[in-house]
Amino acid sequence: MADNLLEIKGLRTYFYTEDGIVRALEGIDIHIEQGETLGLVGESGCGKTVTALSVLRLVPDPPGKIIDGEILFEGVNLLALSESDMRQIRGNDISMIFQDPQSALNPVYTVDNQLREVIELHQGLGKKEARQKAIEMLDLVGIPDPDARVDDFPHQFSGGMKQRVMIAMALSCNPKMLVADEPTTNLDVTVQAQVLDMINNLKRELGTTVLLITHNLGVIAEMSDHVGVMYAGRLVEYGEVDIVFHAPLHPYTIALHEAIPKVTEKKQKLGVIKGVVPNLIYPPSGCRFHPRCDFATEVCEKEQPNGEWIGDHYVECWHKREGTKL
Amino acid sequence: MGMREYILKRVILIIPMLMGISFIVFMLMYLMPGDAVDLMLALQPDTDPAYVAHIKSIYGLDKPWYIQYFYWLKQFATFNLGSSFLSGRDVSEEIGARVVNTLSYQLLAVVFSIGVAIPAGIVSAVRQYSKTDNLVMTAALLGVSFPIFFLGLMNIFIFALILGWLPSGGAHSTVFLGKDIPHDFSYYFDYLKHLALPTLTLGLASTAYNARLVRSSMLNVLREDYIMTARAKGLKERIVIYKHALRNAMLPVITVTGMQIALTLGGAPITETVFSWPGLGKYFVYAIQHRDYFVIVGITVVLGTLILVANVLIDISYKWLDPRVEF
Repeated sequence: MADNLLEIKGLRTYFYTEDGIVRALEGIDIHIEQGETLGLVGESGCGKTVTALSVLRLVPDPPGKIIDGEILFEGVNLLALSESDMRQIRGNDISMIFQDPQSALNPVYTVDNQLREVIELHQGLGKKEARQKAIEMLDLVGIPDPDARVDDFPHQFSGGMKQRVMIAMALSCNPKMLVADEPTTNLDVTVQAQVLDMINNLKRELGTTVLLITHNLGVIAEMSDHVGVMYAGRLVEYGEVDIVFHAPLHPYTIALHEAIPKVTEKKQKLGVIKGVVPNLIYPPSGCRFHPRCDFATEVCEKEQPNGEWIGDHYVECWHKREGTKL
Repeated sequence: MGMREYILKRVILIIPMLMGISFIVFMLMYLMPGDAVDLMLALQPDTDPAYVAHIKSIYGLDKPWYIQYFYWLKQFATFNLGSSFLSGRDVSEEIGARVVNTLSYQLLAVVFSIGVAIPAGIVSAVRQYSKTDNLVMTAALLGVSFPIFFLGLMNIFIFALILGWLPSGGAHSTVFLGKDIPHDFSYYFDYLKHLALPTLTLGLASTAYNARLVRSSMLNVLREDYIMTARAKGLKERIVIYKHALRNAMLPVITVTGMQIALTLGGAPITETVFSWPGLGKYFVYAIQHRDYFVIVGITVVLGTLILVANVLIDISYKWLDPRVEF
């Protein structure tokens, strides 16, 4: 196996709300190999974003708390670092881009100001050199006329351009890992493709490892080497994209695939996953997916399935669907 | 539209607004029974009516109010506010002697309020539901609940009567009254001591309100994505709060401060009466009691101008705080 840049072991992140404890992450194990792109998919509220925020230790506290687990980045447990050591990692070794570029940039400062800030902080450059670097980064992400645009405010950019600025900002310190939380969800479809292409190119050029979070299976297929399928705070399936997409083992993964409209098939009705995402204050007993699963039996209701590795393919299910072909 | 034209437009608009304000005040003044002459002669009811009519005609008080307004307006066009019926001196002179007293504690109160409310609000927001937060918010709730005259009386009771640190009213100690008083350090220090309680009273009331406002505005901003972006950059929490959050959180605070200037200037009569403070507010009450028409309108126009200018300044500061604002 290649070197793992990031290893998450038994991570539990809970939110202590007035209504009760939301068990957003209930012990997940994920690893990301050096230089690869790992896609995390799942429905809203399954813990994708919380995983990302946990890696950067940015889970809002209160109410959120990482209560258990390890996050090893280059072998160092991030959860054991001091806050000031963690700040050295954020934006420098691991940086993050967010879902909504419209609100992810501070409206009252120029792009120059916001880009320089992170460059000056981590690379110790002076104002002039940092500005030069900021212009280079804008050029790299394909913003035309970067010399002039660098002094513009975020509201003077379009949504796609703002996301490019965000990416420029995230990559300006040449991080080892980029966490992209639904980077294209709020963009026009045409712009989505451009932004994804750009992330892919930059990743190859700079050798950045990417953790890509999305609920769009198409994006995962396009971008990732490995994929992790999350459900209600658990990682239910993991493996190479080709394998997970063409021979999935978990009923949830299969159901997700059946819910995608396909141009090549003349199906009248799309597959539907019945029920709703469970309330994570009172998660279902046993396998968290069992109330919505077509294959559930008594054991699913009672006992949490043990994870099982079949080569490089991980699944967490009592009734894994071997032999499925999609 | 550029900044310069915008400001020019706003300044020009002050003129019709002042005309409107003065018109309304004129109308209201003449709804009050009696005029200055009636009141002066109230204790001599057997004065010859012909003489009274003669006096009134000298001042133009026998004309209908709108005619009087027209005369006033003509005078006002040459920046002449007329003269006081009571003292005989120019209204502008009378106002000039008092306007500094009013502006001094009003401005200090704004500075005090902003200076205390911003740090208190920030601490409250950053440590939401902590003991500090609860303490600040309880104090703020008390502050907004007390009417200003009550706060004033409490302050006099505590600082002037019990502790004896500060004078309870007036602007100067008696040794500094009269002619040929040297305006040296002790004179100004004495003035500052007198200034303290009106400033504190007015300041506390708006501090309480502003602290709550800063807190809620700050809480909203802290939930914004760009705050997460700032943290994800590895910035220190101090920079996240004071650079990225505070400036955005200040926008509603500036709006409200602008409105508060109108409120507190309008509240000057109360504050100044409580502290026997020789400013425009107290003079305004006196002028109304004695139907000193030109003084009433004069003070209204001056206060109105101050409020309108303050609002222009507030609007300009928006642009300075938030680049998205277009004029």
